[in-house]
Amino acid sequence: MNPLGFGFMQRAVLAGCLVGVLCALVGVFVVLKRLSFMGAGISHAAFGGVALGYVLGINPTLTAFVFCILTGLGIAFLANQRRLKEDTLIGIAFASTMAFGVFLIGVGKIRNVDLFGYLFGNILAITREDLLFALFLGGTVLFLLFTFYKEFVIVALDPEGGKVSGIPVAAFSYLLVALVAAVVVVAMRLVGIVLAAALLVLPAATALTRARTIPQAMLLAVLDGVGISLGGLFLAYFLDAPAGATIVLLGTGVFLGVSISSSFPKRG
Amino acid sequence: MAHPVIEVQHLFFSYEGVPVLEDVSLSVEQGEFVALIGPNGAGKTTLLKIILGLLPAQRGEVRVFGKPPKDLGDLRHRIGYVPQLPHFDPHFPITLREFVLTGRYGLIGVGRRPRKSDWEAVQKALEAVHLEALEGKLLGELSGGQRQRALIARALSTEPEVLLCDEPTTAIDPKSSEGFYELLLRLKERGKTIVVVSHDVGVIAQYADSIACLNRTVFCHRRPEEVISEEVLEALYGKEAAFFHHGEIPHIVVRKEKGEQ
Repeated sequence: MNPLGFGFMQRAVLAGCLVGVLCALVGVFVVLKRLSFMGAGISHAAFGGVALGYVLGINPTLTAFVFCILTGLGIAFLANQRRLKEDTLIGIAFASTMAFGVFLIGVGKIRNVDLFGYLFGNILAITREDLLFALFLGGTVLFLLFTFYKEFVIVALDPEGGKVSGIPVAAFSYLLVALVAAVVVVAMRLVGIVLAAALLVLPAATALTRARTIPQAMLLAVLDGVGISLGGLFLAYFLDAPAGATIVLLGTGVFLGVSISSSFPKRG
Repeated sequence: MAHPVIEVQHLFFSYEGVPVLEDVSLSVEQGEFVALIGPNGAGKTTLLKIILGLLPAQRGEVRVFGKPPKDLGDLRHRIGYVPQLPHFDPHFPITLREFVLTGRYGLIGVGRRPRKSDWEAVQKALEAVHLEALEGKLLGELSGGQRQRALIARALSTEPEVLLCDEPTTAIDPKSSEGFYELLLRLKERGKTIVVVSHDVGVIAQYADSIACLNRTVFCHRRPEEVISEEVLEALYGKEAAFFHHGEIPHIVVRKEKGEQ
């Protein structure tokens, strides 16, 4: 049976390509700027946002997006005040936003939510509207990433040098956090809240073990991101396994394979 | 008559209530090579960061090209900054050429791509530090001394009039360090104003026109041979500082802090 004969599978493949490209490109800066844990913090905040959407009767993807951005910017802002360390703040936001979601769902007596789908992804639940929203968000992310490419490079490499040179590095650090939030929300439908952060890190980390320059890393990460998203989807279909988990496991396998082969000395 | 490029008057700065700079006054003339010396924790880097506008002057006045650092606008590109070497992730995936270009990012403008003239300026900066042959190498593939020169090339990429260097020779071997100072001298001959922060008084005294001694406050700013006296160095490094003479310039050893020379 041809899996692409199903509407849900067509939508999942489109979402997989989009998520693969976006996670890979933003992920390169996430890994270079050491924002991996920030990505995990932001993605868990999506759960609070989804619950809020259900309670308020608004599209939960939209509320998750706003909630993730606010959480990310809040963490970055407080960390800039230097009273608390960033990992402490993420550790707090991580748990409290999840707790907020669980609390709302309990108190609001919300019964019709596919919690497991939100947490670990549910490709059957990807709607046409989800795809359109993801396309819009993805397009915006790509536009910002390419327009301000050199600003993101300096934010990751040397914020102080950027400041001396007259680049508003603080603003671009916040923008990078907002891009992470956008990508997490796009990835949420495919692989779920818990696994979205992994997809943000895996293709970029795999690419950076081999790439010499950032454009090279972006290209390799996109190949890896789209490859594992589509490979994982079809593998999941034929194995009758959960797609999100299969994608992340495939990505981890590729990362381990590439890392191990990179650690061997080159011949010749 | 030469006008001061950098003017600091009665500057005070404290981190969370702990005073770091107290009543610091300093003036750097155009074309001068000034060494800013003092022990670790004397506030040297803080002073440099205030001059660069990275930190605010809490009290007192700082003027660069006659303007407060935060109002420098396009004049900002006339200052080149060479930070301390350990500042960077050595495995960052960037070629030397691209790295030097980052010095011009502000000049290129937010959201704009580098033009041909930007790449030409990069080429010139690389030639000035004799690294043009390595332009395609990754930053992590360069030696300590080469990386130090890469930082200078980056600072030179905007063709600045002033170079501010923060402890430029701490992470490199003595031979590269000598080459580094020779390079600064050549840049001075081409009319650049140079300020070097260092705790290494012996070496820098051979190259600088004047030495400013900083230990929370500037208590002398004179020609090297006038600074290298027992009482000045004692005031700077404490009573247990001892001197080793090597030619005419004494080298100091501070015994107070274990293992430090």
